[in-house]
Amino acid sequence: MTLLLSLFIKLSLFSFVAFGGIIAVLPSLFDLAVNQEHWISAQTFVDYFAIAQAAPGPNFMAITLIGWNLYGPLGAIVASIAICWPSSIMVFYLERYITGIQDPERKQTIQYAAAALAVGLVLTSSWKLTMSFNSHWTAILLTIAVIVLTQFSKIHPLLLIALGALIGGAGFI
Amino acid sequence: MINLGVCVGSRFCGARGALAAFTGLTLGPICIVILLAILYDHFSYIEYVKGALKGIAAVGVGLIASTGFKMLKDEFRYPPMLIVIALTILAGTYFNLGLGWVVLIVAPAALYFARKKTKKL
Repeated sequence: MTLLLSLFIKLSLFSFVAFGGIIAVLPSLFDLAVNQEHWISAQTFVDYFAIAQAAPGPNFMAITLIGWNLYGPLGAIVASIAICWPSSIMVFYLERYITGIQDPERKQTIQYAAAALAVGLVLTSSWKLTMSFNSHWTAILLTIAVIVLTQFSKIHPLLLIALGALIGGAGFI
Repeated sequence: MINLGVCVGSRFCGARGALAAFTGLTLGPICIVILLAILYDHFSYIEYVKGALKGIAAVGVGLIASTGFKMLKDEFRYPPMLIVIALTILAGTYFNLGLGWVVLIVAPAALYFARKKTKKL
């Protein structure tokens, strides 16, 4: 029970600072779950991340799986709610605030600022994830290939994920 | 997307609408992902599965970075904004600051350049 409570409180705290979405806090969550709390091993985190990426649905599902690993179905539900409720409430009020702004110039300014911050946070997060996943250089090469490919073609993400599974399964990574 | 659902749900039915939207949007995916995790528990000893997951993780990070780079393209319309992005990345990676600190430190610069961008475009 204490574990469940600790899971709820810690994930909720992370959700409070989840500007730019769950992606931005994933590296810190890796640190929390693997290095600080020792909830799961680094390898399990990477695998859960992979499963959540391959499955349909929202971005936070790697967190759902951490909860499931610790406390079964109840853990999964508690972890999912914990990682969502603070950011949802904040987005709700933020959206109200922004649509309430009358001055279009001010509105545009806030949107530009938020967009720039989001770009920086997402790129930071990708960099940190690559570092903490401690990937083999072939994995980094695959990551770069995906980035380049998606900039210049409209290839479907699922196709890339299947390709990644094939390349990794064949033992190249 | 969940946040959007909660916004819409609460517009229609307040807190109960928000909760309903959250449950509706997440319950299916959560069941699927747990099913996959059960399979993972049974088959993760197989070398092929281990390798495949590593490959998927690498692609997953690539897809995340890819959205970042796509958004970055828009920032070239007003290049000074790139300073803000560089500052964010520097604070987050080189100085390894927590997310809250990064946002607090970079937000003033972001708002300053955003104001200029609005005036100029």
